[in-house]
Amino acid sequence: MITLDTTALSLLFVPGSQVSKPGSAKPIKYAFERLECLVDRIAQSDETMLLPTPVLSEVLVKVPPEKIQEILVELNGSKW
Amino acid sequence: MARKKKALENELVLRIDSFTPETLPMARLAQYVEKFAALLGNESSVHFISVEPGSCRLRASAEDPAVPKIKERASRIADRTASRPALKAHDEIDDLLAADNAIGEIYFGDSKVLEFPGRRRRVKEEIGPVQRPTTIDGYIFSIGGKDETINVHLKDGDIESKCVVSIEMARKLKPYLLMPQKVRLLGNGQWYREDGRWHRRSFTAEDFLPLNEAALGESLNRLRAAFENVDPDDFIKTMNELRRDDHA
Repeated sequence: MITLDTTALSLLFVPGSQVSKPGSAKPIKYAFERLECLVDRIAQSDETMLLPTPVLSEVLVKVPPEKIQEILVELNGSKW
Repeated sequence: MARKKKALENELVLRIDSFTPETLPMARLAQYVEKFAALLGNESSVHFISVEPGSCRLRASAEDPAVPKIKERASRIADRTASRPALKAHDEIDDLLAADNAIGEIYFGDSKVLEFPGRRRRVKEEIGPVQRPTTIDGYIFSIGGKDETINVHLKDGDIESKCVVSIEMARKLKPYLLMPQKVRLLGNGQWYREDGRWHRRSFTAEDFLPLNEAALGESLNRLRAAFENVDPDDFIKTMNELRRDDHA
């Protein structure tokens, strides 16, 4: 089981988001692509992903309320 | 001078150190014999012979064709790779011995093939029970029961799980019985922590979801679509604000 933090989840879900190292404004190169690679590995090895409730809560902060239920249904019913 | 009698090659002995044949209660003897037989397997080829002194020795003999199978089984029990019933029988004998403040050994001929730590085993550190919201995923292969609570059995890969549901929920789950549709049961589990590891001892499901078995990439694409109007810069700014220590 792979646990994702807010940084990883925001990269995965929020199109165009970037991350940088603490104390630096410079974006980490190919962060999204690296995460995509991790996702491929998870899919290939039939692993599962754990999204801690505080992480999901943070990522949902800017999502329009009408979309939240849609996201929760997708997540709750996912075998991943 | 009396010579120690050499055990026969096909003779099996379970030795219990805290009893003699005179002090071992008959009911307890029956329990030990039952577990001893289960541990050895090959039921039709193993025969009980006697209870003898030397602490307390339960003697049995195996028919010749069964001897190599029993040796193999004992060896697998010793390295914990034996079948579940064999390991269960071993653990149950050890539990009996611990309860009797005893230790034990099994001899095959003159060779000691298994040991039971019994009273010497480390006391388990146990925390629990702890009730926690729990989910179990799997394919339903059995639904059964005859009172208000129904047992549902699921399989996910090599892992089999059991849960208890109401009759009403069992009816709702019936269409998924033996079907190639994975479900997620949601409910409450009773958990114990033993020697640093959490184990679920029981689980009662109150709801379920048929799982979407779409590929991970497909599922992520649907989730990303729900985020398409989120501005990444605004998102990061909000995250930073949320995490500032002085944020009220």
